Amino acid sequence: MNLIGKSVTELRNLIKSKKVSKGEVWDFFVKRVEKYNKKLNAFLTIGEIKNLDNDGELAGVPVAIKDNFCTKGLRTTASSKVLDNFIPPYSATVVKKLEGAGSVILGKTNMDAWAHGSSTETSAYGSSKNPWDLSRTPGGSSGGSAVAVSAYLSPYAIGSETAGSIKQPAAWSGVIGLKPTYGRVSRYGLISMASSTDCPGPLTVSVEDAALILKVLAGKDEFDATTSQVEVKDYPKLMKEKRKFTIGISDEFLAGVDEDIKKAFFKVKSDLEKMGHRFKKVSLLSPEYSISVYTILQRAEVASNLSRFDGVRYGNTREFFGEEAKRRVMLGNYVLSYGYYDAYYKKAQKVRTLIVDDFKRAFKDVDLILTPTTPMTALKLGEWEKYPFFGEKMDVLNEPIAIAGLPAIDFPVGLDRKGLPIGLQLTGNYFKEDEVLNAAYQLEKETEFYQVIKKGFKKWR
Amino acid sequence: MKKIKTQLSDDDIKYLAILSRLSLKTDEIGNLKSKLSETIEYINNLQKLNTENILPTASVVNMKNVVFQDGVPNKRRLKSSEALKNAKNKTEKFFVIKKRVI
Repeated sequence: MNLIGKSVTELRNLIKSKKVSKGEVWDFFVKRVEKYNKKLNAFLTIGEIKNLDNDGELAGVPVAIKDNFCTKGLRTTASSKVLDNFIPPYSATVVKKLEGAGSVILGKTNMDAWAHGSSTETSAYGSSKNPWDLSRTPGGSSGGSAVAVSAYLSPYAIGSETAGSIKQPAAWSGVIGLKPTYGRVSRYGLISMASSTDCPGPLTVSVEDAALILKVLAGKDEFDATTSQVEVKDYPKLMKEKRKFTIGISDEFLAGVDEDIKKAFFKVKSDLEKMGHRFKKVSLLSPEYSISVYTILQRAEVASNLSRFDGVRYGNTREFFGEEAKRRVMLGNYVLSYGYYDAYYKKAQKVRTLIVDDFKRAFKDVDLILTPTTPMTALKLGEWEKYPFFGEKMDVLNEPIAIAGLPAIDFPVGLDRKGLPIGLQLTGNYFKEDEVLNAAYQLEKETEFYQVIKKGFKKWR
Repeated sequence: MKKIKTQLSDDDIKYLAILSRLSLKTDEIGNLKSKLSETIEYINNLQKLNTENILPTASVVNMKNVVFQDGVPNKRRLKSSEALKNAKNKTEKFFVIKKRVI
């Protein structure tokens, strides 16, 4: 059976009704990985078929996992040579939950080393390639996960986002990426980048899949004290309710955005209006400040989190850190050090309060906020060197949302003049993943996301 | 507004490397100095915002005092054989490190 492009929901139903066996599904994807991974460099390690007697909600559906989630017995590197030979003795909660629901780990995906970057180019194992144009980056840091879904080497993938690392590669690779509210999904077993914003989430080919996976992942975890007690909703069900939303748009989030992306943005706005949703202007603090807040807080947390890698208990010594990691650790220690703590770290925490309040004010007027996901479409490999501060600039529209810890979904809305996917994002209020998914699902039903995802698969028959 | 130094010196870089327990090669210093100075220059834009009487945010989730209950078995605990598996330098039950105190 030709399974290309089947959603998780479709695959699961085919397996449940015995139209296709779990073994056949596994072989189909493994063959695709064998055929295309050399070109795309999406996977670093391939898993084994197991978990076959599980009858759960995701029974027999393979999943690609970003290589910063610990997988018991399966090499986990975070794309750094420091962890080149690390075999975790336990699995991340996210991994346990997916396996508990019957999914099988197809493999571990390439990423920027330690998730430091927005292109996978800081990976110690070479960059992943954008399936739409092999001379371009797929975005990052969850680049390998986005590539795996975009070229359909895996029906869905797990990524992690600190600021843009799920939605930005999803946008550049033309798939769907969901970043839940901070604390909605457990970080236990996720190799920490910036603990106060890190958040796991799915990359998928349909909104329904994103809702389904979120339902499996979400919830309080006794191993992660920052997970929320807020009740987990029935996202796949709530997604299908007929609802009308008031959607905010912000001029501050359109400044400096490429013309083709703006054009797509206003097309989608008018489509959503035709569907009965109302639009309203909201004024938000310029994302330029979020770049600084994010840079300071993230570097500080990175300096602290990477201090545990000493080569004593696992992994190699600190000599093995790449240039990007060194730079981040050093800046982190600078903003935390005596004499600069107040000027940088504490100041950034205070501006974080302003950003959080800013969104809280906006969400009194609107249900959702629609913005582009990125200021431009996928860049050529190596082009980042032209941009000082590359990662932060590419994630400028994601940083405010991440700093505030809000949920958001990216989805494709068309192609630019170079034939590259354009992504927009809908951001919701805290724990309103159901509303974010509901609006995205309505748009998907109405427009099929302008056929972008399907066009992507065609290149990788 | 207080003027903050944004240009780092070679000595600043060497000192940060010590704080970070990183050993740098001499030819890395110049590059790190210019890139870090560039970043520091940029992040100073925050000084333009008035944050008087604003409390800092450490976490966006409103939680207090999440504690582990006494007496509950710690399911996260690894057996020493598992915990030692990835270590390069170990004895029967211990990690081995370089001597720190003379």
